[in-house]
Amino acid sequence: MVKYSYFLGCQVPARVNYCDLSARRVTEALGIELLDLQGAGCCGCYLRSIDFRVALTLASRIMALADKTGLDLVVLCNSCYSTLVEVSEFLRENPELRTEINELLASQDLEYKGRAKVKDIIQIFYNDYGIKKISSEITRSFEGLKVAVQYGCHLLRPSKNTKFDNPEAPRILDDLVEVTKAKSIYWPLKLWCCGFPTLPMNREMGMSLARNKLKDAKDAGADCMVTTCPSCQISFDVLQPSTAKFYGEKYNLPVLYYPQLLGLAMDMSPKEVGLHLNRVSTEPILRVTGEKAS
Amino acid sequence: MTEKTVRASDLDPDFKFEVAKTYEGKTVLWCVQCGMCTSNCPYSNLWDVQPHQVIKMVLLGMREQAISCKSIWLCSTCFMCAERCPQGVELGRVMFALKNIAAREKGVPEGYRQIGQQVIQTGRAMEITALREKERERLGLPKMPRTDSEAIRNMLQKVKLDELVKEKGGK
Repeated sequence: MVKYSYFLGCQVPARVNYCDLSARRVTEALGIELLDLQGAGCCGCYLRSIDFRVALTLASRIMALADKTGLDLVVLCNSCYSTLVEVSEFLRENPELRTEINELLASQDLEYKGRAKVKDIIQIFYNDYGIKKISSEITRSFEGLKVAVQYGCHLLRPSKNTKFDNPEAPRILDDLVEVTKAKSIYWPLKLWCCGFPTLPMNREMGMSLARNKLKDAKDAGADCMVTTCPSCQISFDVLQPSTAKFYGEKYNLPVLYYPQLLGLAMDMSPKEVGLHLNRVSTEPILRVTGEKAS
Repeated sequence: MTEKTVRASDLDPDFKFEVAKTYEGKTVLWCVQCGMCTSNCPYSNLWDVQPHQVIKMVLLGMREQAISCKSIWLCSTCFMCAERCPQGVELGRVMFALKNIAAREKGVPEGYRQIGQQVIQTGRAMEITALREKERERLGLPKMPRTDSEAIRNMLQKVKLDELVKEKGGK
C-alpha cells in the first residue's frame, strides 16, 4: 500500500469536513494510505501577511514533522500547499534562514531537512496513482454533466514556485473531471480568484469576486462547479446562500470538491462522500446519473 | 492621496532598498511601470491605490503612503500579477513585504490580529468547535490529529508574534 503523511490544515476541519471525508474514502478505495500528521498546527498562510518569520516558523515546523515520518506530505488545502512549497524554497535558497529556523526547531528535537515533498491530493490522483488507472476505476458515467472547473489560485500561481500545471491553460483538474465523462466547459473567469483570502479584511470585496464567478459559471451553462481547494469550496458552496442574499440573486449552483465527484464516479453513495453536508443542494448532479439524494 | 503634490523633501529614497532587502520584496526594483499587474488584478477597480502605483510609491520613496494605503491589505494573493509580470516582479510577495512593515509600524489590522491570537492560543488559525468534532465522529472520521499548541506557542514567542498581535495591535 502506498503511504503518505496527511496534513488537514485549519479550514477543512473548521468548516468543510466533507472535503476530508471524500478524500479519505476515495484514497482508501484506491489503496492509498493517508497517515495523519500528528502535532502539526497552522501552516502560516494568513500570518505571512503580518510577519514573514512567523509564517516561516509555522511552515517549517510542519515540514520538519513530515521529514520525521519519512513520507511525502499530502495536503487538501491549496493555500497550505503553496505556503509549504514556498517556505521550503526560501529555506533551500537561503542557507542562513535554514540555520536560523533549525536553531528554533532544535529546542523541540526537530530539524528541517527538506526531504519530504508536499503534494496536493489532486497530484496524487493525476501523477502518483495516475490518471489512466483512475479512469479504469470509473464505473458511473457523468455524461451530460457540464462542469465549471475551479482551480485554487495557490496551486496554479506563481507557477514558478508551485510548479503545478500550465498556469494559463491548466489541464490536470479538467482531465480528472473528464474521466468521469462529464464535460469541462469554457467559462471566461475560470482562472480568477474566489476572493476567499480577502474575507477577513473586507467581506464585501471578497464576496464580490465569488459572485462574479458564480454568475459567470451559470451564464456559461454550468450544471455545477468542481474545485480543488477547500477555501474555494467555502467561498462558492458554504457562503453561496449569504452571497446570494447579499446581492438579491439566486445561483443554485452545486459545488463539489473533486474527491466527491471521483467518489461518486467510483460508485460510492452520495452519503459516503458527504454530499449531504454540501450547503447548496447537489440534486442536479445526481439527476444526471439517475440517483436520488439520500 | 495620490492627487496631492508630493514634496521631494518628504521622500525616503532608501525605501526601495529597504523593501528589496527583504526576502519577499527582492524583485521590486525590476518594475518598469507597464501596468500589467493592474490590468490583471481582480481588485484594481476597487482599490484606493492601484497595484502598479503601489510599486511606484515604493520606487519614489513615498514610504508613508505606501505602508498606509488600504490596497496592500486588500490583496487577495491570487498572484495573477506575479504570473503575468513581464519583468518577473513578484508583486504578491512585495505586498507581503509591505504589509510586514506596515504591521510593525502601523499596527496589525483586527482581522489578522484575531487570527494571530487564535494561532497563539490553539496552534490553529481557525477554531475547531465541539460541533465540528461531533460531526467528525458521526461521519466516522478519525479524531482530529494532535496539535502541539504549547510547542507552537513557544516557537512563536521566540519570533515575537505575541508582541505583534497584542490588544489593539501596534502603537
